[in-house]
Amino acid sequence: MIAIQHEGTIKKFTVLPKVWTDENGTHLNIADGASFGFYPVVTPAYNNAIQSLGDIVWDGESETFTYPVIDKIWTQTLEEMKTDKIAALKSLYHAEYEKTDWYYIRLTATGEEVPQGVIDARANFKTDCDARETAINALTTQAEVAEYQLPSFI
Amino acid sequence: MALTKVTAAVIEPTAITDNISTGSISSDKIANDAISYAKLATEFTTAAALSASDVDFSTAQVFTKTLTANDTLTFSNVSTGMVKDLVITGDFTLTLPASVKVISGTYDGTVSNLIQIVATNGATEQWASISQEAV
Repeated sequence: MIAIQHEGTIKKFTVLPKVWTDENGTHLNIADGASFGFYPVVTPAYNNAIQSLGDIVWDGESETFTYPVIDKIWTQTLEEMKTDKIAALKSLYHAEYEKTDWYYIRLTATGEEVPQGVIDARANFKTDCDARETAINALTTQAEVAEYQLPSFI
Repeated sequence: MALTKVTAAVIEPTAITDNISTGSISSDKIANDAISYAKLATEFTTAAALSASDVDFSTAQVFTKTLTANDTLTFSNVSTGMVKDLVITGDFTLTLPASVKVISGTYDGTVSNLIQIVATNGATEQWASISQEAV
């Protein structure tokens, strides 16, 4: 990605444009972008759970266009964020429970036993979910809640 | 010698003398389908190699140039409706006046490029299309 500052705005391009018009003329077949004001766009490393990128700016020191990293400001309170995170957590575990619910329907319908492995797995889900809920409730900042990684069962 | 005023067999003498004296001929004095290619001025019929950077629209129809470095062309004597052809080669950056809007095509420095310029508003605006030989 490259960009150029032109007429008060910064324009981004995936590659050097084939045609570029500025106050000096209409330029074709540009090879040396820097001589026309084209410089690389550098995206800084950031944690998108707790940070975001601001508007693109010119960094004269590094001769690149880049983005300022801005700490997120949440509209929810810490408690509201915890509530939402725990709801998302329980939804995930609920979905995992549902995958083995049919064993219990079969047990009811036919009397065939639920495999012990299924029973153990469901018990572990409950233990894990409770532990994670406790951990979320113990978090003390909004950033911590935002960063808290929910489990993936994929 | 005495002058004799001739009044017969002269068709519209006033119109003819007036128009010739002002350097023009009224359209009814030119038959339909009478203007041939040979009668056109050289600005419509010749090709010129550009040694400098100015493209004088009044001098030729086709302008050729081989770039040996980045080059900036200027246009002069541009009038609305003029259509000129630039045949440019060379793998360097070519800069045309800012009044030129490229409407199609891209310049390919590895081959010969036909850049056709249409003056849509005198020196203020020209539209350009760029093309190369089909391979």
